[in-house]
Amino acid sequence: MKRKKHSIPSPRVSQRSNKAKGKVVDELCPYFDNIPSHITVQILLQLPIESLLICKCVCKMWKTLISEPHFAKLHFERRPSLMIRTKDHRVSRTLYLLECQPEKFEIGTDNHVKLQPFKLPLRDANSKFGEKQNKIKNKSKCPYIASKPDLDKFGIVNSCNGLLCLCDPSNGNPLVICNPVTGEFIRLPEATTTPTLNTTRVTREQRLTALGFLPKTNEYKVIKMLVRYGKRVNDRESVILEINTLGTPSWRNVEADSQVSIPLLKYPTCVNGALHWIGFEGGFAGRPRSILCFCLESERFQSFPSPPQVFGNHNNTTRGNSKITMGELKGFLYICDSTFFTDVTMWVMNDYGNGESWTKLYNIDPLVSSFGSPDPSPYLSHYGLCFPIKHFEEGAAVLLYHPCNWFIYYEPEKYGFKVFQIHGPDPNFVEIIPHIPSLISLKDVVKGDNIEVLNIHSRCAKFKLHEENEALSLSQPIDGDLESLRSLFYYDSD
Amino acid sequence: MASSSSNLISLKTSDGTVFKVERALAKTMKTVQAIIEEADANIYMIPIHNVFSHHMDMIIDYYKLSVAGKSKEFSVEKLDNDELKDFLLAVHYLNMEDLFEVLTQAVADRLEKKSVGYVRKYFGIENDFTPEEYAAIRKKNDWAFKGDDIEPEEDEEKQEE
Repeated sequence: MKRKKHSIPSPRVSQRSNKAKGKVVDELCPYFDNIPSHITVQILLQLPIESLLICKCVCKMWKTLISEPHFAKLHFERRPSLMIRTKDHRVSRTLYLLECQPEKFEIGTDNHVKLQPFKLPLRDANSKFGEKQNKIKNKSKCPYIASKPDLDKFGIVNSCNGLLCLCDPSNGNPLVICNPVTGEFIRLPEATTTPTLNTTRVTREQRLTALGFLPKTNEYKVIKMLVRYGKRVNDRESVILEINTLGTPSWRNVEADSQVSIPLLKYPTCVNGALHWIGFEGGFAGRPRSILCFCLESERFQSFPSPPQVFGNHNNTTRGNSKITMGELKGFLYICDSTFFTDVTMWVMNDYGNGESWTKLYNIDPLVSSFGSPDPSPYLSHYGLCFPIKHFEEGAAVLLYHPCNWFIYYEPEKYGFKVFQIHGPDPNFVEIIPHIPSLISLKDVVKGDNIEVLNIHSRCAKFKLHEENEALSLSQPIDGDLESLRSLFYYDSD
Repeated sequence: MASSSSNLISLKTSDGTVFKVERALAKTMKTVQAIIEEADANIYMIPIHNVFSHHMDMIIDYYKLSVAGKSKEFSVEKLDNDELKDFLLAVHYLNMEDLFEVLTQAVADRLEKKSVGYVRKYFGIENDFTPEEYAAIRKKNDWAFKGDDIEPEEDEEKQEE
């Protein structure tokens, strides 16, 4: 598309003949097709992923523009959102995208908005495609294949830069990295056998895995850790740490620093080229105590300042009641604490690495204090999890997930509260994964021929699982005023 | 740098209207600012060739709102697609960053969830895919076409190459 920078073409309306069709077509705007590509790019960058994929089909030039890795990087992170997956007995290969744009959420009390589904690969896919492939004759029918949750289901570890790390749910072993939006996925190299240790002295183990991104070298790394704890209090843990840089064909053994003690870790979050976890003391249902940081560049553990105000508060909680999550938004580390319903708070680390920069954004007690009674219904005692949605510079918003599949979107300045409910075949158990959809292609990540990039859509296009007939949808059962919210939580809702 | 004793800059649009605008507003137009800086003597009047007076009206509206901290109230809803595109190109010519971003977002909002045919028509782009290429790329991104609110592809059957 050539166009002189400051020139303006001729009059607005003209008629143009369409050579192929042989008829004259009124053009809406004859010179808009001469628009410089950088303006087109600016417009495309503001579109959501779905529309971008439609735009890819417009013409070759646009397909090239949108497929460029640089474009994907610029586009990424404009729209934070969440993925939801049903957590029940089925394979649950479908993820649903919940985009958090309240402006578009005026769906009224009667509408149900269907959520956009994405597919995950099947764990044991190879056995299926071998036999069934040859039996497909009638392409218009979509045969159902049998699948077994224990064989086919993936666990989701974390999301980093639009890529999901999937694992074997029984042992936490990371298996696949995929981008649900583009449908691409790669299988991680096979695990090397872990040496058996003297098991008489081992009381428990922790398997940990996470996907992280190192901006400096533009590399993605998956880390896999096996921590074995001895019986006695002073027994040092033994740690086996392996790292795979995406694109390389094997796992590397890395020596773990024996000085750093590793508690129970949860909520892996990648920020600034390092992975962070919240460390819980007291085992499985313990209290949050610390943040552990693993630097992807030096491949070493480091201590990391945690917000003492948050973790200190948990001295008095009963075990298992801490509802605390950690997440990342626009390069900032966030901690959301929804344990105390009187004081749901969100903290952000304004200055990475600086312990004093942990700042409280707000408490959401206006919501709760309106409920008054100090002994509210059991539903209220657990707000469930809390996710940051919008960065504080843009007005700060939070999504609260209540275990009965209610979402409360809270953006204090603009929207106040909005309540949504998820509907589906059996939606009582839903797993939430903070995820930002991106167009980043695994082919650019993997660089080179070592690893094969597969695509869900090409492999599984012919098959469906029975569960895929159902869909999750979102409704807005009540207007978000506090009075209605109060009635919602006081009485048993259906 | 050319200095002017008054704080107003005169801008003359393509249709011959002269607007006297505050220097601060002129500063948001990088194209105009560059012209001012390059001039040796005082400039009485700066011609802005690709901009019409109705564009200037809207630009001044936007400026007033943003100075008052109400830039979010600025709306281009009343403009039809043609007019919006016109305006976008004018603002691009003037090189006004903030307003440009507002307008590209407005165009993007209008394109959201529209069909391939609509987008092509809007931009006046011809389809240069062969039927096979088009089928392949549609299939690959099929899920994006399945949303309830997406307009159906009206001219799919009429596609000919």
